[in-house]
Amino acid sequence: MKPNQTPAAIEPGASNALSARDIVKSFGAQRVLDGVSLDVARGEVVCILGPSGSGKSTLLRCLNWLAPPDAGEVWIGDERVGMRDGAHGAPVARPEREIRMQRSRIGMVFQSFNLWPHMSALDNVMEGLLAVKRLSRAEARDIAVEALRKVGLSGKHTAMPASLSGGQQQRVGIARTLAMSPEVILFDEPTSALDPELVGEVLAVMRGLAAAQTTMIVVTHEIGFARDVADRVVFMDGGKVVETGPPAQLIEHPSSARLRQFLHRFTPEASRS
Amino acid sequence: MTFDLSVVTRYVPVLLSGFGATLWLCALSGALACVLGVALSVGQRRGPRALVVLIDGYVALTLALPLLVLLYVMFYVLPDFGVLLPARVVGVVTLAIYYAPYVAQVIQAAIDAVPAGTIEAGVAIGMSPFAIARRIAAPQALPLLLPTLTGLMIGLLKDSALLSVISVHELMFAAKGVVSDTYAPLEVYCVVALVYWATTAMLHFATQQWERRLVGAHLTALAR
Amino acid sequence: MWLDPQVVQSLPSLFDGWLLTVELTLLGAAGSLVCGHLALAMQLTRIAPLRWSARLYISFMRGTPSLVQLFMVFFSLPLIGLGGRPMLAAALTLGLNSGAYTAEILRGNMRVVTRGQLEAASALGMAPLRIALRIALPQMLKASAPALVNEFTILLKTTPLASVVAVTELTYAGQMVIARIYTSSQIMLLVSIGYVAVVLPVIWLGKRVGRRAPPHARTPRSVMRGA
Repeated sequence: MKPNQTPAAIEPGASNALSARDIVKSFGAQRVLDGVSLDVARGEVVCILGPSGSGKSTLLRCLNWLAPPDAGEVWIGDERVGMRDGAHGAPVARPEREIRMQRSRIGMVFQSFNLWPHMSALDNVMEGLLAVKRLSRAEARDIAVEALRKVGLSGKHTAMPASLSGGQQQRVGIARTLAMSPEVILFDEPTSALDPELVGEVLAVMRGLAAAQTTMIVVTHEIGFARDVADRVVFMDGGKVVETGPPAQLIEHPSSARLRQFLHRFTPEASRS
Repeated sequence: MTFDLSVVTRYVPVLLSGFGATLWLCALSGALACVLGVALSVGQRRGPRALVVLIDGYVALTLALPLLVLLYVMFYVLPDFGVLLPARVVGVVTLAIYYAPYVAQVIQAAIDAVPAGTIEAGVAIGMSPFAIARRIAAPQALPLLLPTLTGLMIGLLKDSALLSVISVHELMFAAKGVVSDTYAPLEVYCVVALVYWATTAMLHFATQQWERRLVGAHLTALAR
Repeated sequence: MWLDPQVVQSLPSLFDGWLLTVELTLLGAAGSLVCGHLALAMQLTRIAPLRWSARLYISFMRGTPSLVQLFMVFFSLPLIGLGGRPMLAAALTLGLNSGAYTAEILRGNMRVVTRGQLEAASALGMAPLRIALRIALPQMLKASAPALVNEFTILLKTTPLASVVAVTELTYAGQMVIARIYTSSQIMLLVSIGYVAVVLPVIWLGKRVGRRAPPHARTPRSVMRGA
């Protein structure tokens, strides 16, 4: 696919889990995102690659409206995120309450896990269900227990984050997101802060999710994972989408010089992921 | 009920005299507290065991006792033992005795913050302890010390208001007199509060500026 | 100096005074927590007047002697129909005064709650109030505990102020006994013991706990705030 080409027939609709169109975001004088568009179908796994400063993390935060873009649209299913049609046709910001509800449908896994240190693993996973979905303690507990089981941490309900390894903490972070049954999960460099020997366990969980048809958008440096698991790879640089396509094509036969340069720096370690 | 500040204007000279007395008392007791604080600090570091225990006891007591109670103790108990002193002497001495342990604490902290390596270097050269203290320790400790010390002095200024209960002539005591003359307590104490507030704010501001400059100088001196 | 029988007889009234001191401390501490949280919350809003009011409040309470504050409160109460209540004036003053320091302690410990934790909560769709109550406050309070204990110890040492408006806490009780039986030294000794016996163990305990606290929880600067 040629760079920055948005297929003319693209329309946010029920077929796409998440759509972003012409996202522009600046921080002060620095334009971090310069017209980025992305469509993710249900069950699709999209990996976003790119050098630091290319705007990848910012893009994720625009998608769940943690950092509302300066221009552009984001759609979750057939509902516009963060904005809606105003009385006179011009879009207006949604009330905070609605935006929070929309966020609860988009999961996010962070590079530094961001667990709450004063709560146990189980409490961390349950909190969203209690606070946002307003389930009863019993219901929340059941869902949380199941989520922890899915990430392989059944025995760690009462463990405090400080007693868990980085890999375990990140898996709790994934469980916390899974428990909310989101329509799409955003991963912001989930393994970048992990010691090498712990990366594998997290990638394994992510592979499992992918195999279960979870819609995922993964910002990562793990080229091997992208090549093996992604349905589509997007390469970003300088706030723009430079190339996008099937992983095999992009990684083995990159068409842009910048992507070639980028891949050169990351020798794919086939054995790792 | 009206709030009429004009009733106070006649008494500005009285209040000013009280304020002047406050400043003078605080300067005296502040200086005394610093001298005592240094003595305590030296005593704790180098004194014989008995002295250290004594000092620790004294420090613990003053930390645990409210200032007002200490003031009353000095004021009421001393005469029982035949020590008759004018109220303001009792006031100044009590404030100094109360603040000396805090000054000592600040001095200790500042000295502890002096990098041990610099002291070691002085010893290696063969400098006497006195020379080390004067030429190596003090210049490095002072910039850390002075801003916090000023903070203590601000506390001392506020505490000087308590001296009014043993009838020492200072701002609060003068204010009480004005209140009994004007029957306008709210107006008088508002003015008094503003005077204290302005003074502490200025001291606080000066401390911050000082700290900013000293931290900069200190860091460049220690540049590695 | 042996204990006068009259002094022994006055022990009950001294003890009552001591109880009132404890009561004042508890009331003041409660008020301090309320005022402190309120002042902090006001500083975090987007409404500028609220922010400025909070900062003024904190600056005033920390910049003026508590004796002046007591008189201002004491003489303001009659204006709202609550005159003749020295205990109320004292408790209110203590709470307001200490609240300013509590607010600063809490504010200083806000950084225990990292930006990432707040981001994760927002990403889940949690409402700001819930985030504050479930995520931020528990961690802030835990980190502030040593400094708060220190603050409330200072509060206890400020309660003798109430004697100036004739609240019969320990100091005033002592003064009343002295006025009756004239043995000032022994009474004052007992009064001193009354305070020291409470404060010393707390300070000692605080040091033992404080040694395990992270450095930023200890606040050497706020050591002296004056009465």
